[in-house]
Amino acid sequence: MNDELMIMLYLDGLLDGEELADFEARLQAEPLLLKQLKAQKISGAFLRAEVEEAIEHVSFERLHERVTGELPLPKKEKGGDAWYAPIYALWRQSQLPIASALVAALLTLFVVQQRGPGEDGALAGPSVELEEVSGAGAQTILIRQPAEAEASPVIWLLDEETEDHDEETKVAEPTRAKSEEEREGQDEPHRSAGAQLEALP
Amino acid sequence: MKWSRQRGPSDEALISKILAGEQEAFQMLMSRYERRAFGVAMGMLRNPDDAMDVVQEAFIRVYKHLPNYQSDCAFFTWLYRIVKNLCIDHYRKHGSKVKVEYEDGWKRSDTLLEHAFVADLRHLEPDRPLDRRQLGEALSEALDSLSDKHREVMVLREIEGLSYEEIAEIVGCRLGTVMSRLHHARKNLQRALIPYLESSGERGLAERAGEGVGTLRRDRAGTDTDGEEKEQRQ
Repeated sequence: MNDELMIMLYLDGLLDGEELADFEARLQAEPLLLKQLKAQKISGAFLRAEVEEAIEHVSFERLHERVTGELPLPKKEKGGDAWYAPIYALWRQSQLPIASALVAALLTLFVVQQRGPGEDGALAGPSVELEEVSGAGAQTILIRQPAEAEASPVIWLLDEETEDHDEETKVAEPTRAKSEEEREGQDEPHRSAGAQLEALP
Repeated sequence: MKWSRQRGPSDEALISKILAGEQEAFQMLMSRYERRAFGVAMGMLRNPDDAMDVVQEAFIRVYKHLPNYQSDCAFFTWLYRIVKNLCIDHYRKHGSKVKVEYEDGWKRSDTLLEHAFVADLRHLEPDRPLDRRQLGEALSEALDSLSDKHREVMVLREIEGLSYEEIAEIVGCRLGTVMSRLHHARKNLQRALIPYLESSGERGLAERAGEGVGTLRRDRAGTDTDGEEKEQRQ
């Protein structure tokens, strides 16, 4: 086996037993052989050191960002789970006129639904009930909100006399705030103010 | 160079998950092999920026071609071949020579030589101040001068720390070819160091090592050189 092959096997840890002992003895005795060995050893170490140094200064997080930025990985649609996702998707599909009309229709429906039952003629002026209350000249106003959702609230107008004379309680004519159909169809006589007040919670 | 032992799910399990659409599995696979892939690319190209570009492209190719991966070879073997081919493409596109700025180059060489047991050289040459800058440049030039095939086995042996058998499997050649390539790669590097190891009156080393630094062959095209050709002829 020539020296160069022996050096290679020695560097790669492939000599053992007697071969290893013989070669190490020769290294002690032959400086030239030792220099050859050192030169090859240093070359490999230089290459390793160069790579190790580069690895220390490399950002592998940046590598991940760069790779994932280039990959066609599936990405979640913006607003994918939101209630407006179908509209957004429709919009993205460049069907702008249809989508716009749909949005306008939804907005109109939303506005109409938000208006209360007494607001139909509200734009024309104050309601009849409000005019009656303001014209009664009462000092105190009691408003009873009924428990039932569909019943109309009752507004009691109390004038100064009622407050001054407890025994002869005179109550101004009660005005029931109710819808016009209800008022027209109802001929029920007015109950006394006291009875009505007792009924108040 | 020692690489940490693999923990967690096997490569095959990760690959199955990636194919099922789990992005986290791909991140895990990258984290497992990014340093080794970078080490190989850096050893081949000897430029950190170029090596990073190659590793980036290698992982993109891995992701895209993963459905074609056949588990009859280890994942690293497959990844290594991708990295190597990209390095060769890089040579062809950008030229073989690594461009290192003079100042940065010699400072880096100085540090690296310190790292690479330069004390041994001092011990060998106690009467002669060692010009580490020149030595580093000579080594760097000698590494650049290696052919792709010689460099490849050098990287796999010195950086990856693989055995001859493992190198033969990865490279896809015979064991004798690996030994031959490694021998010639080391001999070329040894030649680069001869002027720095020669003490007065010791010409024998230079003669035994060959023609000298000035005759280093540059064979980037990947053709086999001297000893290997002899081996194949035999």
